[in-house]
Amino acid sequence: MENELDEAHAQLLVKNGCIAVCEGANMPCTPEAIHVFQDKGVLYAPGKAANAGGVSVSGLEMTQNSMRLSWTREEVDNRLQMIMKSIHQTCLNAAEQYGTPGNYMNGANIAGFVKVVDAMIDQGVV
Amino acid sequence: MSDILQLIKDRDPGEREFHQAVMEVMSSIKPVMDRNPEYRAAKILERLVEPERVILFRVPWVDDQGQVQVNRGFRIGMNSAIGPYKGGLRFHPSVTLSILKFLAFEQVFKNALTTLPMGGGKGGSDFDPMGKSDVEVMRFCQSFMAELFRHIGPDTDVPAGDIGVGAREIGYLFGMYKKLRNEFTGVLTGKSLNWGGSMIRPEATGYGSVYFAAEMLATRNETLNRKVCLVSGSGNVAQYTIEKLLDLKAKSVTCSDSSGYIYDEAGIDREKLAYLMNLKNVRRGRVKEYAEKYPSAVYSEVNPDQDFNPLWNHKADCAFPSATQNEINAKDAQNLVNNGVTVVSEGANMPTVPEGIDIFIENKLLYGPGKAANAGGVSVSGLEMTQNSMRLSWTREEVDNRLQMIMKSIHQTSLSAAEQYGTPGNYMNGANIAGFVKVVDAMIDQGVV
Repeated sequence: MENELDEAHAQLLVKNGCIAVCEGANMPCTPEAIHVFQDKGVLYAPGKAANAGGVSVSGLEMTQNSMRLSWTREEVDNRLQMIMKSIHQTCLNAAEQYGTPGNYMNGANIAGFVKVVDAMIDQGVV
Repeated sequence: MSDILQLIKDRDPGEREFHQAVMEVMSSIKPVMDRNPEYRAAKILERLVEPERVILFRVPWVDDQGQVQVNRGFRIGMNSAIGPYKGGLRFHPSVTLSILKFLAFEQVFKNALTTLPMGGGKGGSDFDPMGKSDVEVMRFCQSFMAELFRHIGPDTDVPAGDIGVGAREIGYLFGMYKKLRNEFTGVLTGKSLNWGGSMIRPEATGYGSVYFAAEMLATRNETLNRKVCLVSGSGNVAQYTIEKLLDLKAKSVTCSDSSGYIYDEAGIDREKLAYLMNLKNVRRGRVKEYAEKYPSAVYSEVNPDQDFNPLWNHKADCAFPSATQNEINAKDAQNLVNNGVTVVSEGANMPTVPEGIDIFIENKLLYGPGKAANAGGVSVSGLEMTQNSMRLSWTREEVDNRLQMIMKSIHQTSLSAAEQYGTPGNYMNGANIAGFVKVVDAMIDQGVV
């Protein structure tokens, strides 16, 4: 849940040799905790990117409904993997492009933002 | 056949372009009518030449100076027997009902060839986007869509771009539709990748024209490998024609714009193509600059006193007219034949005059008419609709593979129809016949509506 991991927890994790934090919940780390991770070079994946697998497969459910057909477990799992790879690559590229390489939090925010606002610009003042 | 022509001339004497388009199709399908008397009994031609519906509407908008402007909007739903209406919107002062009717009529048969469920339509306005600010164009598009939205939808009528309607206009039109209808659907094609567009859409027409040429050559056990190709134009269709020719190891030696053309004997390689794309798409320059950048190329200015186009007068194997209508006249066609060209694949709409087509056919060239050879564009629009319906995007490779399959199918269908109706190898007749039969059989099935 949100804010379940604060600065003290973050420091403990680092002390215990943690090298990667991947958020399955929405906003589980406090801003100070995130700061600790980024300072100490821990691989930190924000929920917005790391937990997007859920809504992605919801989207795939919509696709299957539109097609009036169901995919196999394997087909869906493969697509989920492709989507997670894509989310990862997109965030990494955006972070690099805007000067904070490896900062998945910035990368995710930037990539999502740009995609949405470019479409808003295209579609006129409505 | 002359009855039908007389009918439309009597009813709408001023619609010359429409008469011409009807005449062209009628000339190919006479043997089909002779062999199938049930078509005549069902008055199929009388039904085919009358649009299912035409909507004319007022489009008022306010310019940047606060002045009210009034334009006219059109949307022709020509035929929906095999799918919802599909066809572009043209914003240009030359737009009239006659022009749009002829374009819509062509579209019916072109779309029928694509294997995809698309009917034929066309629309637009006499609005001139030239010289207008972005916000003026936006306000116009919003006013235009405020009427059009009631008549279109993903299962009814799916417009796209044409002259004067590009990515910018599609964006404004889409945004307004979504706001008014409260739905995010594939109601327009040519959308940006971010919000429902398809990969390969920009490349589709050019790639398709090359795939079609490859299919024609395969009937003679030949390929495009090492073939020397004359390409006209330097816009979207020409650029991607040249790119796909490079992929298939052919060599393009020309490109042009309205001021002149370049001949580069060494061939337009990937670096030169990148330069050309930047020149045209970003800097909006002239092909003349290509010869300045690459001195081995020779630039020739257009000479209005000449009654032929020197671009078509070079030794070559293949010709890809990708610029505009009527750019190959009878002299040009003869020059192409004399220079050893054996394949012509039309990327543009109606680039060869009727006398030129006769010369190609008499000399047994592989001649791919635009309606078939340039159908790659509308085909990928159809694939954009499919992806929208699935709420999923295919990869570049998936779309390109489907495009290749569609072009193969268009080729085979046209070839078979030409054979079946007595003019084997005549892709022009084949394309008209195949499109015609598909549509009228559906019309017969669906009753008198």
